[in-house]
Amino acid sequence: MTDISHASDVITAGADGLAEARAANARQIRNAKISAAVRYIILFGVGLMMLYPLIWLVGASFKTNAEIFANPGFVPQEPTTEGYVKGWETSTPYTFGRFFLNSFLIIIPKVIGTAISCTMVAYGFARFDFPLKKLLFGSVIAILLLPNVVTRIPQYLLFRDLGWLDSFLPLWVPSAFAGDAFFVFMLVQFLRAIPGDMEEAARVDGANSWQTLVFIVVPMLAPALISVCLFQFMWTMNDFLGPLIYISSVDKYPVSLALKLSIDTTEAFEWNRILAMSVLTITPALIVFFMAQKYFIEGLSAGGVKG
Amino acid sequence: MARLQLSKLEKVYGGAFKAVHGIDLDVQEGEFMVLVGPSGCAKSTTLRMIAGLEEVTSGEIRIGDRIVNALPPGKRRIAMVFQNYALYPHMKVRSNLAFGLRLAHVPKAEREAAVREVARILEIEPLLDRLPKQLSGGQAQRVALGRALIKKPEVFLFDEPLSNLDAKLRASMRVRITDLHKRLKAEGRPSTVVYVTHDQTEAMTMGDRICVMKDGHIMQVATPKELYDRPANLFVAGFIGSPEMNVIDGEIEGTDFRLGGQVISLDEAVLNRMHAKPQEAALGIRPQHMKLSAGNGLTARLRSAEFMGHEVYLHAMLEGKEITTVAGAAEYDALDRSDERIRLTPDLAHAHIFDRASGANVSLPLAG
Repeated sequence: MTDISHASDVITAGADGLAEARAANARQIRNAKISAAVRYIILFGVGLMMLYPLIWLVGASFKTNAEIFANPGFVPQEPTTEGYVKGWETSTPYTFGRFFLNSFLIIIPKVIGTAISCTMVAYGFARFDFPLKKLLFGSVIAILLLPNVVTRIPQYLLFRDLGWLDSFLPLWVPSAFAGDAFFVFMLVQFLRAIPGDMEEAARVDGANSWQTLVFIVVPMLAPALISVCLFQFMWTMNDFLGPLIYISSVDKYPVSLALKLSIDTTEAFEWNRILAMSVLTITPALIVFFMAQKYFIEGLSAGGVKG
Repeated sequence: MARLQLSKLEKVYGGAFKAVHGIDLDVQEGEFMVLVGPSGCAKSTTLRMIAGLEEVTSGEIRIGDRIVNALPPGKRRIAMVFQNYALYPHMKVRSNLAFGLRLAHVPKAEREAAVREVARILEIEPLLDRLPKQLSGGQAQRVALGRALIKKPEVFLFDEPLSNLDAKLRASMRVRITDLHKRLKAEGRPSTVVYVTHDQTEAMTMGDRICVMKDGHIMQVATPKELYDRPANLFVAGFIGSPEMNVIDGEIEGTDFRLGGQVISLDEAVLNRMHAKPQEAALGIRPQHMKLSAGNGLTARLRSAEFMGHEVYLHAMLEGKEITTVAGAAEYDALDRSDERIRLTPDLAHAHIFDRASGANVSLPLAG
């Protein structure tokens, strides 16, 4: 009899313990849900704060001039595309299309030139031994640390003597000769993280240095190269100082200068036109970024992660 | 297929560190030569010099009748299999295999035929349209092997190709590679192979001959059996064979080998073989030639026993030195272990006498 009651005690105690564990488990799940909710609310709030200027910009570009300053919200009350239509026409004899074309005439050779030249230079630094290599790489790093402004005047004099003023050449030629130390550095770091075995296998297979670079190294370098191209694209699109210094004729203005032009030449600023053109100006960079986003992040992080 | 000759080959890094000390090695046509040694013995450096991936400081490398020192790797008519496969990650298996032929401007139809043949030999036909990252280790290694095979090179170079595989796969790949070597020979396409490994089992099972290296020097080049039965020096004696050879320090006085308080009488068989009488001697004897005996013989203190199935490895202390002996499982069961003492009789017909100072085996018949 005593034995039986003892056994049933154990069973009840066991059931109690289990019920307690289940309750604790349920509490933990509930807490996790609450903390996730709080986390997402904060993230959403901060995200909205950061994106607000951009959202406002897009909204305001569809407002009338009067409404822009009267209404702080970003939803236009009477949406109009007048800003886009008038803004596109500009106050010059050229449409905004002309300025976009100018921008791309700078960007395309610059991006292609950068990708090719920086890959070659980085490959050289990462894979070959040659006299003065350390000194030369040191000077690449030194250039990286040098503020751009310091070289503006000597560069200007150089390009003036070459007769390149008021042309696109000063804006893209230096980059096509691996003039951007940052990209060289970035690719060297990326290459160092890629084991050399595949290249050795290619050499045993009969490839020379160029063939190894083109068939083996470049495909492995693709994520980093996409990052390089994206950066160069966005930085060039947004570059204001370069064109301001070297380009003097309005028909050669890229969009960054053209935007400023619409502020300069009108007495009472047509804000909705400026905002509409600003939206158009950031669109290409955004499209390119979202298209290549996956590779871009891969390229930025891979250099650091691979051992 | 061709003979490979290295003469006075040296490698010096940065003008200071000498990695390879003027080695001479002659690999016969169709021979499977294994370079073996502990890590840092320069076996891989030697292989990379043969491949042309590492510059030669001085000396000569000959493949067939050509001196290849100045030739780039692609022109040496060699193929190499790397430790971590080194497959081109962005190319499918098919393109990986054909890459060398593509660079050599072999017409497409011929290339495809060659890929099919190699895929058939290595049984990788179903893998041809996969990327390297979709392959298992064993499959990747077979593709790497195929990439070497497709070029029909004069010399195959293997740089520790199996060390990334698990033990079971390693054993089967070992058989596969030696089978392939034999098969090519039978088909009238004998292939000269230089195979680098640090694993003595691989070396012993695969090599026609083995070249044992240490610190950039060649210690001995011989067939596996020769290395095992007649090691030229203490290093080879210790490196080849598992469990390791027992090396017992002592002195030779007349016909006696004295170690601590105990004496082994060297018989004529040993004494006649000796061509020098070293000051400080070491007696080398493999565990299976140390027989357990009742009553007489050397006395040692038993420390531990490892049961291996059909036999037992006994570890014992003999005059302060750890030695190993192998006993049959039944023999071990019958052993009286009550006082932890065992009695051992060395089989002197298989014993070696080494000069402690130089490490040389003085009980080997002199060469020539």
